[in-house]
Amino acid sequence: MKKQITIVIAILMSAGLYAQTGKTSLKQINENSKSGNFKDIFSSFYRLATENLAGDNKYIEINTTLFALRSNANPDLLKDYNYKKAKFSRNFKFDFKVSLDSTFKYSGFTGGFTIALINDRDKTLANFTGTELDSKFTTNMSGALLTVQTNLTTTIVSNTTLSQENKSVALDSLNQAVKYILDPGKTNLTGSTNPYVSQVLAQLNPLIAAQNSTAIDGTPITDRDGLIKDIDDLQTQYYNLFDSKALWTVSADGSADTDGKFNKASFGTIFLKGNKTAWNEIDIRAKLAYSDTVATGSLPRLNFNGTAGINFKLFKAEHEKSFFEAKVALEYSSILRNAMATEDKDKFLGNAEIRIRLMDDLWIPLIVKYDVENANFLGFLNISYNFGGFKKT
Amino acid sequence: MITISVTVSGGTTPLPIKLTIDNLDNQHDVKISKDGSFTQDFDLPGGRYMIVVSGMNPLGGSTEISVSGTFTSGPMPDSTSTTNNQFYSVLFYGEI
Repeated sequence: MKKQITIVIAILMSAGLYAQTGKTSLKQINENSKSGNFKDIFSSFYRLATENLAGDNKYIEINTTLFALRSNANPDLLKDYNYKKAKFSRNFKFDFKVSLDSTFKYSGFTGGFTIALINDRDKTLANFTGTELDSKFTTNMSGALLTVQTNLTTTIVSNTTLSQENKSVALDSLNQAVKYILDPGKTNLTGSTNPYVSQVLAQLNPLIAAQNSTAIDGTPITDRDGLIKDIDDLQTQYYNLFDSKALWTVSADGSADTDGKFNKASFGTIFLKGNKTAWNEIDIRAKLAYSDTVATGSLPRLNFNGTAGINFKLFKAEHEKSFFEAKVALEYSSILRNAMATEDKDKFLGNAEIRIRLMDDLWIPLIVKYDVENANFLGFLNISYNFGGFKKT
Repeated sequence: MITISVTVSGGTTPLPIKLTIDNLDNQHDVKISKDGSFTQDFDLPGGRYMIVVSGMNPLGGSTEISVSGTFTSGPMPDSTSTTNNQFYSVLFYGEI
């Protein structure tokens, strides 16, 4: 059993680490706009925890989707017509965690899976056809660029002093200039060493000015800088709307002790749904847990825990990234089997959780619970690091 | 006859893919809009052609464009281009 687990983990680790070489520039925008609440549940393709590897209790953890593994074996799955069909594997996430003692000897195993039954937050399936973004990019930007590309291509290929090879080099430079101009991250184009950047802009800017269009903030668009900024603002705004769409997951997990015997299992479900501006989010969770870990003989226990609350995003900055989140919830827990004499079988709590984002993926959550029946406060500080999402490109 | 193939990977294209085949010496141009990957043949008369494919990549995704066929010159600067930029407008030139 232990050997089999080790082999499976080694294979998954190899596949996962190989796959993490994917490009990340666009993904980063996606990741930055997500809330910490969402990240904890389903956003990451990979979460490889290396916490405490130097201590006495070490563990290695892999967290991936079935699609990430399948697309490593068959890259054709990434093509749009296959990608759309692979709904189940894109929404099926599983994880394994192997614990090791101080001599790196197996000391425990945890595994589980999560299925997103509703996942309207998948930004890779976005469709902005017919929106203002479509109009601004397809008509205003691409339409004007096409005129400039035609003019400059005609000039290049009609130049009888240029060899075929030099014409090809010039056309490549023109392509590079257009790529540069269409990059919203490039704001100072005058420093480019590519001569076609200035030549394209010299023709493009008057065409854009003649369109007499306005940005979403109402300011007139007079040149490439104004138009590409407006296009960037629009796509950011549209993608952020995904963060408030519905997400419903069900999950199951189990763990084994040092002898390889399973001693814990749980089944859970989570539902999230925000409003259109993503300033708050309904958060409903339920979990049924079985455990057999009491030291004095076998005493299997069955617990139910359910919470219903609202998560508030506060102090959002550029690109709608939240820096402070607060969550208030009501919690009900019940020991359905083998409650101890000193325990309350049922418990009602009022919870408050505050998360502060220190870095892109580093949150400090402070959780405070209030026992409604016994009027007790319990607060504790928990620090978690999310290694960010992964998707092979 | 020439063949143009566009393959989107890592998601679906957020905006339609626009294909323009521009005959540089007359107004007999071809303009097509597609909602996803495609491969299409074009039977074009002799002449100088600029081919431009523009669109928007899926978040974290990429698009591969290839142009092939019976060109007397080209396609230039390359017959294939792969872009992972969020927005793209890639041109090819060839003579038939």
